[in-house]
Amino acid sequence: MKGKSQNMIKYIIKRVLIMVPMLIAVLIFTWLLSHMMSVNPVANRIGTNLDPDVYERELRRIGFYDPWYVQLGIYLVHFFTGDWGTSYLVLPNIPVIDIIGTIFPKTIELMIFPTVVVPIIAVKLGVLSAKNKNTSKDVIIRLAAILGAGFPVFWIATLLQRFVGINLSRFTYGAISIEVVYSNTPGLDGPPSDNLPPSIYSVVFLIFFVRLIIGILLFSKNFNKYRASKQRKNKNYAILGSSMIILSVIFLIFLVINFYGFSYGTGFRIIDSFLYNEQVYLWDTLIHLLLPMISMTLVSLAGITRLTRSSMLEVMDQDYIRTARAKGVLEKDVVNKHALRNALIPTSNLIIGGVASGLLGSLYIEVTFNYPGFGYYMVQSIFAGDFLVINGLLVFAIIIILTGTLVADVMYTIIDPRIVYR
Amino acid sequence: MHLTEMVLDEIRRESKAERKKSNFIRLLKFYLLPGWRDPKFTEMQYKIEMIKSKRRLFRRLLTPLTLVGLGMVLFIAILAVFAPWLTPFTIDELAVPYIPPGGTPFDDPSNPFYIVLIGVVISVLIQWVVFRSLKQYCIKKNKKKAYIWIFRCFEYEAIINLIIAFVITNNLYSLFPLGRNDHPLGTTKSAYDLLGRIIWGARTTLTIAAIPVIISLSGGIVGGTISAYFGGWVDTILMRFVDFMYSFPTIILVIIITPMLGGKLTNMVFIWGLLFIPSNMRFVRSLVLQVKQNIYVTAAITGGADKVKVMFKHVFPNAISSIIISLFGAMAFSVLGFASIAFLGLGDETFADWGTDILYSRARMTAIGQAFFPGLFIGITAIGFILLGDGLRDALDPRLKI
Repeated sequence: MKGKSQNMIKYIIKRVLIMVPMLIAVLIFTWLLSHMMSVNPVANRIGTNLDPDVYERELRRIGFYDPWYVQLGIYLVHFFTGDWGTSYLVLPNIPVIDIIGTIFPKTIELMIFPTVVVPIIAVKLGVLSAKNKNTSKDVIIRLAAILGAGFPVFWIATLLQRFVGINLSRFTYGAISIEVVYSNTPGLDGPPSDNLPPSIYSVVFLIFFVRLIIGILLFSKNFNKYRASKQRKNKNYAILGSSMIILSVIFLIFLVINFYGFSYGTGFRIIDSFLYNEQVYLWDTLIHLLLPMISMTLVSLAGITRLTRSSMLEVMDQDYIRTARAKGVLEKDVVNKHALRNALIPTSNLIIGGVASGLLGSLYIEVTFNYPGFGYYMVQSIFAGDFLVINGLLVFAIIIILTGTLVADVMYTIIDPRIVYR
Repeated sequence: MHLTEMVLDEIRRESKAERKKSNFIRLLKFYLLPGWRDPKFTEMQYKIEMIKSKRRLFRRLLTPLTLVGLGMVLFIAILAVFAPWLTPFTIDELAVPYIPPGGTPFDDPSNPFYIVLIGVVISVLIQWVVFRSLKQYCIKKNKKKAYIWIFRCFEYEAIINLIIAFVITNNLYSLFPLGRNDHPLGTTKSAYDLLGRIIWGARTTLTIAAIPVIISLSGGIVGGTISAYFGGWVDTILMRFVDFMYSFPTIILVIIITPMLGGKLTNMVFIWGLLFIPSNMRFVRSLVLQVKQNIYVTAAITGGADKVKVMFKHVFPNAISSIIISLFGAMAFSVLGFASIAFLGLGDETFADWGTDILYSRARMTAIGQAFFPGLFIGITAIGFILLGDGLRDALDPRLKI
């Protein structure tokens, strides 16, 4: 057991070390790509019918006439010293790191329900339809899943917008911040720093820190016990602990980023509204979250249900299921323990990978609903030709995708103990 | 004498030309008509034919859902082939803005009345079904008579509503005859006829579905087979490349690259095909590695067969069924992906494209039909391909005993 876990640590270190040259290659490739785009940022920003002298000066200022390797070198040096540049067009003169710090919490708020709660429902539905194969239940679930998988995401989103948006204009019209109480910087809304007393900040920090420590203690104590004795109680505590760790790490990261970079709040609008005790802000956020979340949910539900059903059907025909039934195991246990464990292996790839790629999957929905998250600003910056923002967002997304695949590979060994990495 | 040799002898007795002529029709009858057998066949010949033929595969393939999928794809194909005869508009009138002399382009994105009618009919039908089933339930369970009467009233009210809706909308039609005959589904931006755009868009969609998938799959097959079969440094280099491309979000690459090359449909199709080669390479590689572990491959190699010959004669035919199944899924994915790209405004505006139609519809909140119908056709195409792929998978996988 111990040798296996050491192998695992070695494997993780190896993967992280491979990620570094990969990241540099990705960085250079992205930079070249974004500079090959046929968009003129200066013309986009200040218009073409301008005094040519000013135009030339502006081009020289952003380093347009330097050779490409000089520009790239300057960018790389700045990138690794922590300066990811400032936005030029989308949100003028705001540092890219700050944009990431404000945008990503909003996307995570949008994603957290479809990626955490929906897979549980979807797996249950898939198992239900596989158990009652070729009955009316199965047909209904299959039909709904096929409809969800076959119709485009943005179409569902657009229709929802049409049917609901006319009556309840709050859902869709305008960007998310229609009732901005606080406006410190143009484009990015949020309460200013002087509203937040430092004591509250430290209290929030402390709360999440304590949560993290409790989570680590819970996880480390119960995980080993579970491995030894396979008690259900220990397993549940270990899962609770791991979820506490993950959540508080995410929150702490954004707290730290916002403490040093941005001057207000956590960036999560729901938490912010509780911090400042602003009910209007909270309702505004929730109302704007509702429709994007529904359309997101429909889509991810369909994919996972379909995959679970097909892999469940494949597993239920195997010999060991027949053996288990012959031994007299309860049908409930046959389905939940013998079959579902094996059927979850392909599904888990979709679920865990979905967390990472969901950032991009929400792109069309964010564009449809004008939701100021990652996808929306990505598309905006590509259309405007805002090179530094494109690079920053892409690199951040790729870091998340790479770590996501690493986590998925590690989780595989827990779900399927036959897999061994060397 | 051995069984197959007997049959071969009998087949040799027929003249070659005669066999060729009758063979096709005979096979078609044999596959499609349940229980049909050639009267000329002996009992032994019939049995051999049963084993040899793919008759059971066809039987398993012809499930209702697969037939529905086939019908959907055929419907789109018919739209694509007969587009000039189905609509009076040419492609130029539908995709290039028409500006009348001395005026701004005519823009009328209002809904035609029968879209409202369809909405009314659907809601009334739902009312009818719900109250009818409630009534039946009450009768079955011997509830109080008052409940049954209330539900019956609501049920009959639904039918009366239906008649009233028909009468009112027909009268409205006579008030506004324009737009009914010329534009059955209304118009979109710059007075493009929506029905015409949908019919012409079928051609674009089928092109989009077929060509990128063919490019990416053939590239994937070549790369993946080479990588899996030869192994060593070839495998390492190819897989590093695939890992590098895999870490990129493909959607964003497409969004960046498409405007770079001018946003023409031909370019987009080509780029899409190239960008999806890596994922197909990984897929084919894993398939070939699975097949390579079988004993017959080892036997062929130990028998002294050429390595390349083994690859194309033994390994590849056994991996092809999974590739064919994935082809339909990839087609559905391609249709949806192109529609999404067009929705972002990157579509080729010189072609009629359903994704672009949905983008146009965003200009007017009240025009639901503009967004509804193009998306419906995207859905029909994608679901058709998905159902076909599902049916094929069920038919080709003998473990799933359907």
